[in-house]
Amino acid sequence: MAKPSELTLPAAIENLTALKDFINGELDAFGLDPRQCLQVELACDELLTNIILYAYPKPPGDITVRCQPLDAQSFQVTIIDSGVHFDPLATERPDTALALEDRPLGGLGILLSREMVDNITYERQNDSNILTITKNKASSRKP
Amino acid sequence: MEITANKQGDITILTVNGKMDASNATEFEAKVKEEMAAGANRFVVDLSQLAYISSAGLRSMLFLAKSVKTSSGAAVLCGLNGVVQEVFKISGFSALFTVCDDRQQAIQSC
Repeated sequence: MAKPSELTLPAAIENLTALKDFINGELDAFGLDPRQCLQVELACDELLTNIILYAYPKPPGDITVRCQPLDAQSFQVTIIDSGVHFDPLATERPDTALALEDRPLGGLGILLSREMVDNITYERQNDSNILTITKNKASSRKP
Repeated sequence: MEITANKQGDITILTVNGKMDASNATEFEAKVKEEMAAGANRFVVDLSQLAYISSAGLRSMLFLAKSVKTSSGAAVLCGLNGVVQEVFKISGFSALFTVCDDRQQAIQSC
């Protein structure tokens, strides 16, 4: 199994692009097709943006992104922060059928994250939030 | 991301290029505000060159929808493809807008 590559940066919106560029480079090297790369980017983007906006009541804190191929078919991205205890996967699924005026927008990012990849897990370990995103090359869920 | 504005009659055509996420979505809102301050309230948004949109980008689209509704205007989207189309579908945002295949149809529907 290939070694993971890792990048740690302060959790600031100015670093969102750098964090995503790092992930994209690794995804591309792994050999996901362009559409699959965008899907993983989107899943990570939503989770990273949440952390940047909400994890650290007293900024700055760090975000670590770790990329690792699991085997020839599967790629894993792990996102780690040491901010407030928060499991984004525990949020309720938003009602996407509501009218424009009645629509709360929270939860939409997590919904998109879940739909774009094959699996996302959350764990709290040593005062850190750890999100693990898995994408398979032969993903059955997308055309 | 790049946003360009063109006029066709009293319709403002916004063309968005690249990727829209939390780091730049407010630029789209700023452009809408700028155009509306100059009197625009009918918009066609051409997303055929947009490769990517996150929920932050959807929020800025919602800002446009709510703004034109308040001013009795219109906003029609066109050119959605790939992951952008997928995001609009999953989020339910396709139903919030008139969505056309291409710019010509969008102008006629606006």
